[in-house]
Amino acid sequence: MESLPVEVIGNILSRLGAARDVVIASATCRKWREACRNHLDTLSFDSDDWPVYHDLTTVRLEILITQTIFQTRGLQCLSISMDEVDEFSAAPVIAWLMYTRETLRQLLYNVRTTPNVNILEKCGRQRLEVLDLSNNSITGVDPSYQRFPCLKSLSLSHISISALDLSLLLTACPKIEFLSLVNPEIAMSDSQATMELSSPTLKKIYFEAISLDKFILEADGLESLILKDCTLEYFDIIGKGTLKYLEIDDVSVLHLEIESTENLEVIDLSSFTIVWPKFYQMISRSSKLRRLRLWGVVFDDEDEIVDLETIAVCFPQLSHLSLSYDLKDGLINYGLQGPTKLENVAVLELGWTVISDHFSLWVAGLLERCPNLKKLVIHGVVSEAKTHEECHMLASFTSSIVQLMRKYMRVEVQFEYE
Amino acid sequence: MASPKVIVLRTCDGETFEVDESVVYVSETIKNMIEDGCGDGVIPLPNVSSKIFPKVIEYCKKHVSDFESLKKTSNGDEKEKDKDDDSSKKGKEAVPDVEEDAEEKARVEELKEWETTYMDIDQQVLFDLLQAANYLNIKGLLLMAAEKAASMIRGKTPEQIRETFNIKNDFTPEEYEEVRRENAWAFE
Repeated sequence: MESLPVEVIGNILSRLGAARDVVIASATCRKWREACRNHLDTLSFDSDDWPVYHDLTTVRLEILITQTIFQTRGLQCLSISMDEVDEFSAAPVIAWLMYTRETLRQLLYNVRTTPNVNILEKCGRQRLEVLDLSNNSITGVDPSYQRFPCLKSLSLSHISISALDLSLLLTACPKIEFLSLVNPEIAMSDSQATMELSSPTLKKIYFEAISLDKFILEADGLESLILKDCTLEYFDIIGKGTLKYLEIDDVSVLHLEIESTENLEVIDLSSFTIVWPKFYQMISRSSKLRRLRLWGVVFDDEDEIVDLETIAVCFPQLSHLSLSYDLKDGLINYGLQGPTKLENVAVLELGWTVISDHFSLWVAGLLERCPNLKKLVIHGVVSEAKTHEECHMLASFTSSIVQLMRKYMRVEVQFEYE
Repeated sequence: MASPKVIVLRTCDGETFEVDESVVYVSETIKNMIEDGCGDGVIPLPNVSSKIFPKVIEYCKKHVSDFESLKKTSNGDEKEKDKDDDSSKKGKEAVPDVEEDAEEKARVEELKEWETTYMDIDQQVLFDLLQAANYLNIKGLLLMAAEKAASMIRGKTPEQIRETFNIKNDFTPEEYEEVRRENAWAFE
């Protein structure tokens, strides 16, 4: 240990992260103290790290954070995540940002500041690669002088920002690849809430709890899009067919349009109301689709079903199929009609929310369509109060599955009940 | 494909090792030396012992494939991290991966297992590894070893840390007092 150079000690102590651990380590010996001063690149003040943080007043926290940061030099990754703190005052926050301006590459900050600090203006911009902000307001973005030439990842959670500023912010980040927006408060100027975002470099997007009337997203390099718990009337995604991964969970969207879906490999929809013909038309050209999941989806038209023939014909490369939706009595057979097999499906996941006789029939029908199946996972929702009838249903279901699987000895079966 | 070039290296205690060029290229230091024209003779490694060298080479062999592709592109990008190096993901990743498929997941799992086994080493080997990875400039290995060392520090008092790593407390009483006072909050 004695022979390790101080930079290596600095490297080791930088992996500690938690400020308290770093400070304690600095009291070990002179070399370690020097390592903490001059060779520390990461420092984190996270309320999860140390229970005593909760007992300290906000002012004491401001003081200790300031003292600790100011003992370092060349900090590259700073993380301040204090869930129990209502707000920090502007002066210390500005001090922390200005002190680390020249060297900061990653910043995570989640405490409200009062009065509001324009974090984007105060933090180091030249080297910043990752920015994760929560519970703050962003006002007045000016790309002419405010540019983030290295920013690759931007995460905004519970941030108040205008649609225009958000759009400008993206243009100020020429290398941005990942954008996450969670529960933003988006201020609109028009009466119709329209947001237009454009970035040729964005690869992965995560949107949660967003509520907009009209949203136009132009992302020529987009590979992955995840929407959760959003309410959108009109969502238009313009791109060059690079989208590979699409996940939509608990989203209500009246009109969804995705340009160029030829390269989609994974489609995962859950708790989603689909207008099947329209949606199908959008994804029918996704011949490279490997994974399709339709879970807890509701069809807009009650007579709509997912017919396997269409799936088998349009998605020949499909290897993983997950289906769980209300099986309408008369329509099961209709959905299973057709000669085309799902040759490449190796994993099948089928779920019920309310157990019925039809389910086992459906499973049987699907097993027949997947000649190369390796694994079957059955997902069930078992209610707490089980009536005699429900128990009977579950029992007969179990028996029918056991019998069924005797025909498919090579298929591994798993059950997941919740 | 032409047969891979073999590089001869000599550790500080005089032993020589013959290793494929692609494998040693994982070390930035050796790579630079080769590019500077030293590849034909014996490359001396004055700060690496013959005891730790095989362990280092084991790491390099495992991580060759990522560096093969990196070699072809410009080597200026310092931030280009090992694709498989899980330990390089600290806290927030710059760009989270696009959804992995089953094959990718299996590969990541396998690598994690390999890393756990690889890092099941005693303290002396750990320090030698840190020393070697630093000198040979193998970022992924240095990161992995540093994480391991950090895990041995976390949660301990200064005295416990000194005991674990056999460190001498070279603070004067005044210096130590100053350290404690400056950061009193952490010692409560």
